[in-house]
Amino acid sequence: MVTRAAARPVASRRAASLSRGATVAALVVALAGAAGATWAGVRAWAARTARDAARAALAAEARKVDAARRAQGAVDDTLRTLLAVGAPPSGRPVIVVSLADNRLRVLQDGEELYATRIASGSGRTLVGGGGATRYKFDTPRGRLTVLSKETSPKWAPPDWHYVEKAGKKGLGLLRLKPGQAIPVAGGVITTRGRDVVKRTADGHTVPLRASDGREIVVGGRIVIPPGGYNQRRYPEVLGTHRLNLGDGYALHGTNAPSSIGRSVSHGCVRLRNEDIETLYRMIPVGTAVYIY
Amino acid sequence: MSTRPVVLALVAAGLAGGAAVPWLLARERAWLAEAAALRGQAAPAQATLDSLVGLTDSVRRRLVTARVRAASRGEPSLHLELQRDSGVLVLLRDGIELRRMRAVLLGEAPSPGVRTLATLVEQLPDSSPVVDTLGRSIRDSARAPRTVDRVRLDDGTELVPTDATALLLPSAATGDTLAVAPPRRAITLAARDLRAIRPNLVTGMKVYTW
Repeated sequence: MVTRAAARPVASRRAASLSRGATVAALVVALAGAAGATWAGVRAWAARTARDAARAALAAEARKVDAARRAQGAVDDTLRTLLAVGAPPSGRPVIVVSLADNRLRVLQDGEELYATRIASGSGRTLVGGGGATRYKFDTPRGRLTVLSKETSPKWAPPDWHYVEKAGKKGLGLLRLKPGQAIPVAGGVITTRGRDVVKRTADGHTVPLRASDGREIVVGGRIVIPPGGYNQRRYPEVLGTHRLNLGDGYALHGTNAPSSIGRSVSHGCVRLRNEDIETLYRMIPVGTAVYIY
Repeated sequence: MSTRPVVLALVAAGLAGGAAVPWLLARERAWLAEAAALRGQAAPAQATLDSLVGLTDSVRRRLVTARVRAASRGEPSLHLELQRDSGVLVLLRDGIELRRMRAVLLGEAPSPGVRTLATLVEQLPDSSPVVDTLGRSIRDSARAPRTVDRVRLDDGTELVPTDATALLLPSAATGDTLAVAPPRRAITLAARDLRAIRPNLVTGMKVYTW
């Protein structure tokens, strides 16, 4: 028979055993819960880290794209500015002359408005004054400007014209000074006003006539009239119009259209009369003329 | 001391941890999905960036050529402009194209930039045979060097008329050999073009290449 006093320790031991079991079970549950939470937490942390890294990488990419877009925009702007450089002045024609091709073109904003053939300087050298003077018949290369325009221009032959004529005809030269009198048969050759005249013995004066190829000849010498005199002004030689380029050079017409297309002039640019008339209408004073 | 509160606390913590596992796993899935979506967005961004960088490189190259072109077009003095891609050589002044010429590049093309004309006329020892009035070969120890008209840039590129290529080859028929070495690289032009621009060329003249 179990006494009450003896049963108490047994119950107590059972209770204690149960208490330990519950504690162990609780600890197992707690450990399992903690382990599961740790495992899931680590996975979640790794996923969040990966998400954050992806977000940072995307933001960095976006910044690079923005920077590249800005750089490209700046480059495009610069490119547009650079590509706009160098256009010729808008709305103004320019004349371009090729001496090798004997060709003249009128350009405006890169477009060819007009083109035609010309005659240009022969490149010959004429020796005068017993070898002391040399005349080179070149058309000047470079940039010139149309300084003035005129219709029915008269040609004032330079000295080389008389040197050339005298050489061709085997004659000498005689330079007439204003007021000078050169004795000739039946009177003298002298000047009056802006004319070279013949004054006869009875005092009668007759203006002499001179033109290209029909110069005044006295005693086997070609007379060179003073500059600005009417006998040194030849009509028709320069055609119907002239565009002056300075230093005696010009674009002008001609009375010898067969010379066009060849290098035969004394330095001017010679055109057919219909061409120089067109240029006269088309080209304003101040237009640049590029000769190469 | 009773262990019951501690045990209860551990059980509660364990249960709470266990209960958090599904939430944590759900968060993991969500974050992984978000990361994948972000990476998906990064791919087109990278492609955009690659194309922009590529474009910028190509634009940068265009910029270099545009800079040279702009400098050429803004140059007031007479000069040449070599347009490599279109095979064109232009004589220019004040931005006005005086003459536009077809040009074929032989050898390595000059890089974009500004060059100058370095050589226009070159003196060479004369190696051609000398004959007397009867056609007999004679020796002449005091012969002046020949001058040869050569237009050459400072990088060695030479302007050559297209019909001069025959001159660059030795002639077996005449036995005459050319004392001039053929250029390593050359810009060939129609002979009439070179004739037309030749009197305008001076040493030091700029040649813009783009």
